Amino acid sequence: MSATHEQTLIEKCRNGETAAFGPLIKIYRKQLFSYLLRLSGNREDAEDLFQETLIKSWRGIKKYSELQKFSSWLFTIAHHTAMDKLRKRNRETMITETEPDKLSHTNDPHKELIGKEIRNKIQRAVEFLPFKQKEVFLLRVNSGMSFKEIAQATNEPLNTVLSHMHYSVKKIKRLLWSENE
Amino acid sequence: MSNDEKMICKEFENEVYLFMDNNLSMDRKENWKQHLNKCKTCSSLLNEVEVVINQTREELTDDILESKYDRMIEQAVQKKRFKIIEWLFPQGTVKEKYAFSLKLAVVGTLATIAIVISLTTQRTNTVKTISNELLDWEGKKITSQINEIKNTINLIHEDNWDKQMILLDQRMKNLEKESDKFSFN
Ligand SMILES: [Zn+2]
Repeated sequence: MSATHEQTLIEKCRNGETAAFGPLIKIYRKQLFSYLLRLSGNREDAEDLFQETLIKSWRGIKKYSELQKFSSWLFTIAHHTAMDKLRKRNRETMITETEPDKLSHTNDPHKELIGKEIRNKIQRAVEFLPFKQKEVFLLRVNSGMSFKEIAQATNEPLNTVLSHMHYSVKKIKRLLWSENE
Repeated sequence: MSNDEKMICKEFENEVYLFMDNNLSMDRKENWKQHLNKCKTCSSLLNEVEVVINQTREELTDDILESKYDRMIEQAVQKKRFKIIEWLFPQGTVKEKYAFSLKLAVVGTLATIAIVISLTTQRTNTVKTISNELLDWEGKKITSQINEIKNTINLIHEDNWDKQMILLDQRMKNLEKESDKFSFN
C-alpha cells in the first residue's frame, strides 16, 4: 500500500467521505486487531476495543496532523482506549486466556505441527510477560512505532521503555531457543 | 574476549534498540557498524532481536471477519446519536452495561428516599410569632397615650409651665415602661 494511496484516503475521510474509512483502516486492520487481542487476552474485549478505536479515530481524523505517521496516530488511540478499559480491571487478574489458533499456514501436517508449536510457545511467552513489558513489546511488534514514539504514547521515559523491551525480548528468546534445542 | 571488548559489547546491548531505530548520532552509528562487522556476539544479538520481533509479528497476527469489520466501520462513521440516548444506553461490553444499570438503580433509590423523607417530615419553625390581636391591642393603647401627650402640649400655653413639664416627664417614663414591656414580651 503506497503512502500516497494512504494520504488520499485520509484526505477523503477528512472531507467526510465515509466510504474511505474502511479501506484506510484496512491497511492496518490485522496489526491493530492483533495488538488489541494480545493485550486484552480475549476476542470479545479485543472486538470492543477495536470498535471503540474506530469510533474515536473517525471522530478525530480532522485533528490528525501529517507530522505524525498515520499508523502511530492510530495505534496511540488504540493504546489509550485499551489502557482506559483495562485499567478499570485489576491488572494482576488480567492473565490472558488467548484462544488456541484456528489459522494454519500450511498443508504439510509435519510443518504445521512445528509451526503450531512455535506459535503456541510465542503466544504463551507473550501472555506471561508483566503488563508493562507486554504493552511496550506488543506496540513495537504490531505498530512498528519507534521507541521514542512508544515512550510518548505510553507516557514513560525512553530508558524505561527500552528496559521493558530488553526484558521482554530476553524472556521470549530464552523460551524459543532453550526449548527448541 | 578481553574485558574491554566485553564492556563494548555490553554497551551495544544497551543501545541495540536505538541502533535499530536509527536514533543515534552518525558517528555512534558508524562506530557500531564497524564493530558489528568484526564482533560475532553483537551481530548475532542484533539478529536475534530482529528474529524475535519479526517471528512474533508473523506468528501472532490475527484478524476479524470481513462482515464484522464492515459492520464496525458502518457503526463508527454513523452520525453521533442523541446524547440522552447514549446516556441511557451506553456503548460498551455487557459487563459495563450492567455496571451502569446498577449505578443508575442505586442513585435512583437514594433520590426517591430523599424526596420521601423531605415530604413526610414537618419543618419546625424556630421564629417566635406574635399574634395579630396582641399587636392591635398594644397599638391602640400606645395611640391613646400619644394623644394624651398631644393634648397636654396644647395645654402648656395656658397652664403653669413647670407643673406641666413634671407631669409630662412622668407620663413619658410610664410610656417608656409600657413600650419596654411590649418589646420584650
Ligand atoms: Zn560486540
